[in-house]
Amino acid sequence: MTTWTLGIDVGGTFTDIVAICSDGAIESAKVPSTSDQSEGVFNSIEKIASRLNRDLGSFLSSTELIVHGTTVSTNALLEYQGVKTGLITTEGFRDELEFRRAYKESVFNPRLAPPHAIVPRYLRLGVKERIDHTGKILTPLDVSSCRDAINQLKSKQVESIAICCLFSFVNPTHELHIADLVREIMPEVYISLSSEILPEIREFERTSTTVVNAYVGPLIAGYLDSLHTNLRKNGFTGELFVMQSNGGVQTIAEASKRAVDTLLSGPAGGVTASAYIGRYAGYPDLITVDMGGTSYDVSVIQDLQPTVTTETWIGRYRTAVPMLDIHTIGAGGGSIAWIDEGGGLQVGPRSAGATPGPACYGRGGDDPTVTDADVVLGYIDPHSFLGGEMVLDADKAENAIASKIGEELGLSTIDSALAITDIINNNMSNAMHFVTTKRGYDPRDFTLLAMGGAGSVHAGRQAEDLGIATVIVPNLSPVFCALGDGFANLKVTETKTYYTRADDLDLNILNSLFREMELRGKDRLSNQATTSNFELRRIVAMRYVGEVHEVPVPIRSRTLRITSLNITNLIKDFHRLHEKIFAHKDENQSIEILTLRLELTGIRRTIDLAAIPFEKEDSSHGIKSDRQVYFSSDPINTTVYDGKKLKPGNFIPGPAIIEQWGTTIVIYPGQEVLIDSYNNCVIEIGSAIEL
Amino acid sequence: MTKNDIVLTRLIAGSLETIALEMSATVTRTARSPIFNEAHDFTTAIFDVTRNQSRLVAQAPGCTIQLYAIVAAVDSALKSFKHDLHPGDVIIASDPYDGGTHIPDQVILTPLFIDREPILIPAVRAHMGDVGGPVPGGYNPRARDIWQDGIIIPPLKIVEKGEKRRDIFDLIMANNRLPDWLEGDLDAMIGACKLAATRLEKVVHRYGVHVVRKSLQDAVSYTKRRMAAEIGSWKNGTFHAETYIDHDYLGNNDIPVRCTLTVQDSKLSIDFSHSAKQVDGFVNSPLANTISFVFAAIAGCIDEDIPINEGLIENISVIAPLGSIVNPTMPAPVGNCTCIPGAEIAEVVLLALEQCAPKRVGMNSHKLPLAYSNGIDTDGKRWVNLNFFGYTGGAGAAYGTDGWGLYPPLMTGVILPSIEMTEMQYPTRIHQHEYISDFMGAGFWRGAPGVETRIEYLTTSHTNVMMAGARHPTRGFCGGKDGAPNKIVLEIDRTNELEVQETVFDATMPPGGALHFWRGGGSGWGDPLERPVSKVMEDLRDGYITVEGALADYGVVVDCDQIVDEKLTNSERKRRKASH
Repeated sequence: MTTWTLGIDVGGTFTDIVAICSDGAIESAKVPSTSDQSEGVFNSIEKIASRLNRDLGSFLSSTELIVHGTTVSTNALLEYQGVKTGLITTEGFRDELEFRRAYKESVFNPRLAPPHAIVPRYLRLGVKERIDHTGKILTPLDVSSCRDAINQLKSKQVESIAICCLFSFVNPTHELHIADLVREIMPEVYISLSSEILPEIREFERTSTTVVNAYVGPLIAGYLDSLHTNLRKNGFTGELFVMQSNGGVQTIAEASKRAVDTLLSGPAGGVTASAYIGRYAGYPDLITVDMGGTSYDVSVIQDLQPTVTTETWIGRYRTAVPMLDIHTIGAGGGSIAWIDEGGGLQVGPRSAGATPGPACYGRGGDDPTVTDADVVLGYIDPHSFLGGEMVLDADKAENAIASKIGEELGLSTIDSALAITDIINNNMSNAMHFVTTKRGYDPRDFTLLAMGGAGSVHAGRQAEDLGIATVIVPNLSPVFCALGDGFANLKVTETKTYYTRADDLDLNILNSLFREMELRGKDRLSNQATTSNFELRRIVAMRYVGEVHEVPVPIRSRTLRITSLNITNLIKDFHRLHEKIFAHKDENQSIEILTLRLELTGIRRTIDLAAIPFEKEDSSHGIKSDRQVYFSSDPINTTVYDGKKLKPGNFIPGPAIIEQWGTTIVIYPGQEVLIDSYNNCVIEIGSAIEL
Repeated sequence: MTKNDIVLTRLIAGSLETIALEMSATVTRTARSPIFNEAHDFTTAIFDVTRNQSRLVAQAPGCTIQLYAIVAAVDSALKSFKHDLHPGDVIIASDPYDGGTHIPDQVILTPLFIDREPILIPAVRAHMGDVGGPVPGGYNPRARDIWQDGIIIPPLKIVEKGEKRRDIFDLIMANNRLPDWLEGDLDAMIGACKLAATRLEKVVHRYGVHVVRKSLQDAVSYTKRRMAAEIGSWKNGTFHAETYIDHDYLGNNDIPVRCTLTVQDSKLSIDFSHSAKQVDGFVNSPLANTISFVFAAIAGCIDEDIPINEGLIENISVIAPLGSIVNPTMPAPVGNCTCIPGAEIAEVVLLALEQCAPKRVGMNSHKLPLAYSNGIDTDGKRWVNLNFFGYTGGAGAAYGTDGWGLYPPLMTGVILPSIEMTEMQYPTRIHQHEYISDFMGAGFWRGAPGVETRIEYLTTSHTNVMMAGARHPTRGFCGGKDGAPNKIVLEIDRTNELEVQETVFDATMPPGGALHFWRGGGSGWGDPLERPVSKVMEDLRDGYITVEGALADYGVVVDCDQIVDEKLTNSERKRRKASH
């Protein structure tokens, strides 16, 4: 009997589903997102089931696994709709959360308001206790001050409590003791311990991460529990997993405890899918871009490994758990073009969003947007948007651009539209350049992978700007995050501070710490039956003495024990990586180790894509129509292809446009496109300009 | 205007801004000393050059008080090497009397040549960990002349035609206490400049020199237009303001800094003529430092999206008479100028602006009491700790927001070290780091509360303290109250305590001695009697203020159940307003 795996991703506008059959068939669909996200989830499953002529119950009963990308925790944090949360911390330090190590988002603007206090000061309470950096207890925990604090939080009816004491990453005794007291006095409350959420040095980062976990935890836990119950009621007997910010999936029990790991649950799917597709397409080093209506997400994949960071801020709060490194700028199809006080043309960061949306949506918006420019220039066909499900109003697009930009600047409507696309492309190229250079990479060494509805309209130009030779627009690009959910492996990341000079490193301590982390990781993955096939990656965050930022250096060996020769090689790798990222190294300088990270991947049964044999190069069977398209002020009559009809092996010289459901691909003059054997569009950029 | 005129300006300016940001990211990540990668006390910028005249065309948001100083330093470096500049040269400079601020702020720059002509110059200006001289770290309250501040570096080539000049490096390192850090930091600055030069070269090759020059001119004109529109929205007239420096660390108290600010349509002039003469202590401000603080103050008063370039400066003139505290004659010592009188210079400008652009001023909070400690750890190594926790804080209010967090954005982008990391790295224990109730300037928008910090050293320690903002705390605006005063007490042992008046030099404390800081809270904006009662009650709930503070500062009467008595509050507020 065939069974199904479902990847379901909830986005701002659409809920996407990809259903992968055990016989290799793949189905996908989009339904509108709903305010209770689980409604959209059920609707998407029903849509697939009905397409297969199955009822929901029978389809669900043949579903082995559902992997869910959700924005429940993200939205709760971004909209500050989390639960009432308290913080218990070491006396004398309850304001560290508000101090933020003095960080402010803007150094020039004194009028910048503070972030919303997700734990206001009256709910941040200090208790008498102190542990030093070696783990020695200097002041024993004062149980009565603890009880007072807990009772005070109880009287304020908090639903969640974060506990974060100084040096708990060395010695968690006091935090554990406080947690016991909390459970005794408030048995129902959600508890987050910093020594469990992020047992790492740096109190602000640890506190903020733990507080965020406490703030959104009860919501995601409740959501997943009710979704799971409903699925069970409807005949689902398989497993429900959640996509995490680290690009791996996890059981709902774990995700409920570690809500902070689900903050990038949505976009992580797309990055994961990119690495997967990159392997088949043969491009291991990728810059992935996801251009939606309001935001533009950039991430870097090197050698099929997505880049991970611990330096994320979300909703103005610091979350220091390892997450996929996704850089977001305010640029998308809905970005509004406007003339500023100095008479300069600006595009974004303000967006028309989905309502009223671009002028051409005809929903009352009259500000010209990037999508309006795309329509005016002929990149987007008003009648083929979303497969014709929504007809755009080209006149409104033209009027908005002409009246608000053209007349102001004394430019023709076409030149105004070209100026808008030039500027948005440049903003995006600069974002990509900054993201890569900041890490010591050269964008020219990468292939650009464009996903999301608007990405492939602009990707060709951005590649030219950046000197990138190839752009991939993957098959299933419009439901790419859901695809990634469907493919992703299970993954847990464990971290632990082990602060020592490399010269003084004790191999026994190192091995036993990694061993403990591995056991803990396996324990976290034990509550599932999908796989017992684990892959281990051990990473050591190191730096030269005196530096502030660490370099995560993977230990190449995956053998049982780390030996002194492994460490010798690790140190060599550190110098090399340091030079690569920071442009200098110093082999005589002392090195210190800060944090150990262990990534345990539970390998799921691999879903192999079947290569489709190449057909002829000739692509004329795919021709749909032609139209005037403005790549510059002079229009070119451009052939338009129906993406559905194109076959592996087909070749199309630019300029050309490929339209398929949910996305439009623009092949600029001088570029060409070939369909590979997995139905991905591979665009070669001839006129790459180095910048 | 054609489409290309409009777009290319944006594109080229955008590329240069990104390059400046990339330089900044490179310096942060590659520098050795914490003052770079943790305190972010540096700035990166790009200049264009026409006939040996440089002009600021792009700058990354970094330490705002380095803003103008970098302009002056690049000019003086170009002047020095007029006909002797070559591709691959890298110049270092730090001379307070030739485009500098205080000696620790050093500039590195490298010219990009196209067709044998320097076209663009990426530059980094940064606060170095040590600069030789009598005192580690470069703050010497006993300095009586500039040579006692540190080692002056006139413009020098440290890299010549791509080759590192070992002799120059050796000279600099030989006069420095932290040569390893310093060389690492200089390498990071040089690396960032080289990276930028490579990127800039590609921009020029892509668009051509002519187009790049024209686009940058357009970008500067654009900022100038925005700036003119901003100044044009301020009230025309002449406005006077004065403030006082606590002392010059030599017993001279209450030293005036005065400014006369004139707004005439879109032009602004700022005249410091009636300020004090230069003083014997190290609180003199060389011209570039004075202008930097003027612009740091103004940069906080304008829209954030105005690109920072020379256009910002063109409509503003600054008059600072030679021989005064804001433009001393050589060899007056200037070591503390980036704190004092920098803070007072910015403050007095804001106090004048308050009268013509009240909604623009705020965040007056730079009066830092510095306290550096050093000692020998159990492993025999010397440690130097800047005690950042003790004196960061005191963010003032601005129109639209209470002061919040710790350090305010007007002056710098400092990031505090972590307490845990500090205790791992130094023989120290931090016992407290927390807001103090009722210890800020009240206002319609209030300042951030002051911060109490207690730092114990576990070995014998030696400390220098330079008090500031104790006699004259930061000033409030538009009826907002002044900030709270700073205070530092050395808890030498169980029986001995010493409250620092002006300064202590090399104060020795046995193991267990502690520094106890009360960093004053920020100043307020607007009348505290107008502050909504609900906000006062929130502050009370959160312990930022007490019941007594609610009454004393805001006229809000609260009963013993912490419930506001509206009737009494109304009459109390009315009574006080009448007696204004």
